[in-house]
Formats: sequence, structure tokens, C-alpha cells
Amino acid sequence: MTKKNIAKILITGPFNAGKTTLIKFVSDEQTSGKDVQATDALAQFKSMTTVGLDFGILHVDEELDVHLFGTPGQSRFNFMWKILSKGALGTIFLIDSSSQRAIDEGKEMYKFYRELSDMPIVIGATKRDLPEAKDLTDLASELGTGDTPIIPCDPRKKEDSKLLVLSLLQEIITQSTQPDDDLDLDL
Amino acid sequence: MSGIAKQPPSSFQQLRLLRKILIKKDSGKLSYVSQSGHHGEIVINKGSFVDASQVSKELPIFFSEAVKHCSWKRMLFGNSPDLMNPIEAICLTINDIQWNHATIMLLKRLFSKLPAVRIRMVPLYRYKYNDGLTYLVLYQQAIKTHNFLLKDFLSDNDIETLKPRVKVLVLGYCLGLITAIPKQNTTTNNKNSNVGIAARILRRIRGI
Repeated sequence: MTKKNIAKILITGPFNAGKTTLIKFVSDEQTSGKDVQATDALAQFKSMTTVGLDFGILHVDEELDVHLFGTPGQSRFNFMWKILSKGALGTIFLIDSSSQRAIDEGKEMYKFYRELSDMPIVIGATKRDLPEAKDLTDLASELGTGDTPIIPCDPRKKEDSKLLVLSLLQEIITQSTQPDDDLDLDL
Repeated sequence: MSGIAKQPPSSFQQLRLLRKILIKKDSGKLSYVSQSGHHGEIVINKGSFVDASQVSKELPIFFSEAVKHCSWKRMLFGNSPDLMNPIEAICLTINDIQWNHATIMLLKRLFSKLPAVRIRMVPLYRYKYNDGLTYLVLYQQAIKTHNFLLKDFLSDNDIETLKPRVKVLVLGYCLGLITAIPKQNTTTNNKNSNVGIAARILRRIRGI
């Protein structure tokens, strides 16, 4: 039996952004972290939250599986972020764009990942339908994301979840290839 | 790349020339004569536009119509004090550009002939582009489709639908955000490199 190669993708971001849902849509098999009742100050925002981590497997072909790791969102689990990011192809960073608290936490978290390595990151801004949702320009400015694109998305929709993963994969490809200049417009 | 580009009597070859200059982050002077007889010059230093006020006058004309001819003379400059980021300059120009029906249809024809492309996502909202949504639609279509062709993005014949779509294509083309998909003999051939692995996963996710 051939040993399968494993590629790793990290799904991260502050509490209550949609990480568990995203992994569900792009995995063939999923083991969710234990959903428990939130007991800390976050309980007012979300009744159940993930403890431990979310994990999904996507079978690509005979020789390759993708392991998707969803990090716990609360900052008290930050010791796990570094461990989980080791060897990852890239990171999808989800942020609840309607919550100032999430944005404040996200700023530190984003900085942490940026300083950790130069692995490709794409950012998905969720809860765009809520009236409190920040404008993308303001969100980028508050998070300090520079030229990293922020993609509006709703992880509850399968197509949006796919889009984020596809965006990350394309970012990995384009970061490693030079833009060509021979795409000619001809009359 | 210096010299006068050979081209048909009037064409949009200035876009191709500007794209090459910006991708290479070249320095020099781009001269052109528009179809209506305007003689224009745009100075570029290491891929950035020089002299913001001159650029804001010149770029709208540069983009607005086909040219009779255009040329590029490579030059070396020291540090220019008044540089303008090319993304912002082009975004601001394309925001306000008004093409007539014939020009939009010409651009549609030109872009529809391009081979399969890949679209790069950039945060255009940072550069004051006012229609990031259309760019996002282009990006989404491209990323979900194997061998994406721009003719599929431009399939509508309604001019009001085409206008914003042609705008994002001109912008993306000139800035090098639209690139040809490399032939299979490049890095993706190494299926165990990060790029090769990403390409395999990409194909799989598209099929979910």
C-alpha cells in the first residue's frame, strides 16, 4: 500500500467567525472539536463554542490527503496556534466583520501569524449581512492587513467556503510563479 | 522594448505596452498619439508614475481611446519625489472613464481572444476603486473554472453590463493581475512541490 502524502491547511481567526462550518463544507471526513457551552465573557455572543480543535480530511487522490485544522478561536488557546501552523501550506483567516471585539482580537492574531512565517494567508470577512459589519477598507485598516486581500464570504454557504480555500490555493501558486508579460491583446 | 511599436492604424496596443512596463517595473518615457491626435507622454520610474498632477491629466486620455501609435524609451532616473502608485493611479482613472459603445465592443473583442487566464486578487478597495464587486465576480468565476476564458465573463451583449466588466479587465490587464495560465511544463509539473500540491487540491475542491 502506498503511503499517502499529507498537506496541511490551517483555518484560524477569532471566536465565532465560522471556522467549524467552513471545514465541514470542504472535508470528506470531519471530527469536530467538542462543542461546549461557553462559560466566559464570550457566552453572551455564542452559546456553544469549540474546545480543542476542528479537524477535517479531504481526499485529493490516491497519493494525497489534505488535513484541515481549525484552531480554537479564544486567545487563551494561543499556545496551540504555533503548534498547529507548523508545516502548513497556508492559512485561511476568518473574521467576524460585525464584531469590534473580534476585530480587536483578530488584529493581534493576524500579527501573530504574519510574524510566525511568510506562508500565504487569505482573509475571509464573515457576517457581511449584519448592519454592524465594517466596511472592507476600515476592516483592513483596523486589522493591519496591508495588501493581503479580504474576501467577503458566508461560510454557511458551501460555495463561499470553497471560494476561500480555492483563493488560498491560488495564492500559493501565484506567490511561487512570476507574472508573465506575454498576454497580448491582438487586433 | 524601446522603439515604436508596429501596430494597426488604431488599436489599444498602449495597454499591452503599459502592462509590460509595469510588470517589469521599468523606467522611461511612454509616448503616444491618440486617435484624436493628442500627443501624450507618461514618465515612469521603476514601475511607478512620475508627477501625480501630470499623470492625473494624461492617464484619462491614455485609456479613453485607441492610439495611432505608442512608443517606449527606456531611461534611468534617480529618486523621483512625486511618484504615484500605479494601482491607485489606474484605479482612479478607470473609475471615471467613459467609453462609447464602439470602444466597449472593441475591448470586448480584444479580451475575448485571450487564452485561458488566472486572476490575482488584490484589495482594490485600498486603492479607491469603486467597483470591487465586479472584480470579485471576475475573480470568483476564474477561480472556480478550469481554463477560464475572458469571453465567458464578457458573454453579455448589454452595454450597461459590459461596461463595468470591461473596466475591471483593462485595470487587471494593465496591472498584471490577469495572467496567462502557464503551460504544464512549469512548476506544477513537480506534483510534490507546494505549487504542485496546491494545483492538485485546487482541482479537487472545484469538483466538490
